[in-house]
Amino acid sequence: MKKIIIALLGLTLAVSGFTQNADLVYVDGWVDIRTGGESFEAFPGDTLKPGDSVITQTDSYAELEQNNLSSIIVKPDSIFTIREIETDNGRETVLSTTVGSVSFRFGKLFGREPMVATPSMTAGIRGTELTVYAGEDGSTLIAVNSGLVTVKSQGESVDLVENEGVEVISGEAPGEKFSLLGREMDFSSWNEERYGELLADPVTGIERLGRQLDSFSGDITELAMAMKQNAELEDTLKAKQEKLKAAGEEAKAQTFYKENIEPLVLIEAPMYLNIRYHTLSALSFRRYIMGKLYLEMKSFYIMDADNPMYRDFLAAYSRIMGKFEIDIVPYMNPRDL
Amino acid sequence: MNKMIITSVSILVLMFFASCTTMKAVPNERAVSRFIGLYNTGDTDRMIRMSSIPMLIDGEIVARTSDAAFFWTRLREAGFNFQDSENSYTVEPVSRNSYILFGDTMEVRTFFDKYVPETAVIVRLEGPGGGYILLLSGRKGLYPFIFGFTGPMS
Repeated sequence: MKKIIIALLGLTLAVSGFTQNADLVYVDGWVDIRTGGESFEAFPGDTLKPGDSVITQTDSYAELEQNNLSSIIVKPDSIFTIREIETDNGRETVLSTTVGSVSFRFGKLFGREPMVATPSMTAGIRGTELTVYAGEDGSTLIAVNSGLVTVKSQGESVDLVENEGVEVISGEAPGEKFSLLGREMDFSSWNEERYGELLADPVTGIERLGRQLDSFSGDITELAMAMKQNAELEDTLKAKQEKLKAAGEEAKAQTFYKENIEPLVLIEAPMYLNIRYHTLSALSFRRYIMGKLYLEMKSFYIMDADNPMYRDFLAAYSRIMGKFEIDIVPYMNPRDL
Repeated sequence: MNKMIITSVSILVLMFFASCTTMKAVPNERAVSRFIGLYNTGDTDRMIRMSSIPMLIDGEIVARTSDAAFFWTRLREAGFNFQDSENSYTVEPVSRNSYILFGDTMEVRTFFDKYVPETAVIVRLEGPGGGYILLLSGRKGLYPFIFGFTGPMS
């Protein structure tokens, strides 16, 4: 608990307000912007702020820019979201690809670059041009054209340099990195192969996706516990402060507040921000990855609803959704839907 | 001459209303019947256009047109059709507790609060394996929009 408080205090005191919006500079076909729980047709000139998503259709794509320095291309049938998280470096922008393919070219922006994420990994980047492929099975493929990328998943990391790539299977550590030289990156074939594997054993597949969802809820639960303990400690200390005030020791009470209570108040907002980050990541994963698998299974077995495999799938799915309702839904609000 | 002008104007007025799009119109029996007929003809493209996104499929909120398109296409490929005869379905207005038909979760409840117009109707009909429910509202041309699909009901 103490460790979490100190870490969060450190990042609260670090440079904050490092928010990176992105401007939509080009749209081809119908593209949606989802903001504050509502969807609108996207047009060049629109600005995306943290929490906003760009959703492209199978025949449309969008191009965004950040301060004319960084370029983001959201390719067809993709969902891209700008999020924020508090890390040891302060508040950071996370450019998140839930599903589909997004290319990034980062210029030197404020001397620091945002993080890139998919449901199965996060990546720190430096002076980089890369493409992220987020598969419909929750897995990720990253291809680096220039710069350095550190890909992290399940507590393990791998460094990628120019012309290197790596695959991260949902719920697993990054795989072996590979060379991109002489290799044509074909997202459709890769996605088809990954999704085919998921469908070959959908019961094992939904269980694996459930474990990925568990990792989001684990992060949320840990932060929520820390926040609760923080609030309890704050109440206890406020009672002590009141006693000092009642004894007429106003100056001592003020110092007591500055030294003991204020640090606790300061870490509340970062904790809440991170709970929201993990909650929204979990919701996207549930909506676009698990939801798609549900539609796949329902439509495939609609004429054979008593099929034993389908029944097993539904049982596993219901159990996972029950956990989602208990572990994650309490941190959602209607605007998220 | 006058008769011809009146007829032309009437046709234009009818065409205007037929092409109107509204999410907030109560679908009547004929509109429901036309919608079931539309589904059963296998016109997937039009089904996609008549899908209000986001829409509900059981307890899942479908937020992408491509996912709705995938679902309707797969149902057609599977040969899934509704019974479409006289008295083969019932229509009732949506109520406060209608969401439970799709799932007793916060997401489904919120979907009904946020996206389902008060003019929506619950259509109960038969299909392969049992009873199904369609959630319809509004109108585009001759057909209502579909906001939800669930079944077979246990």
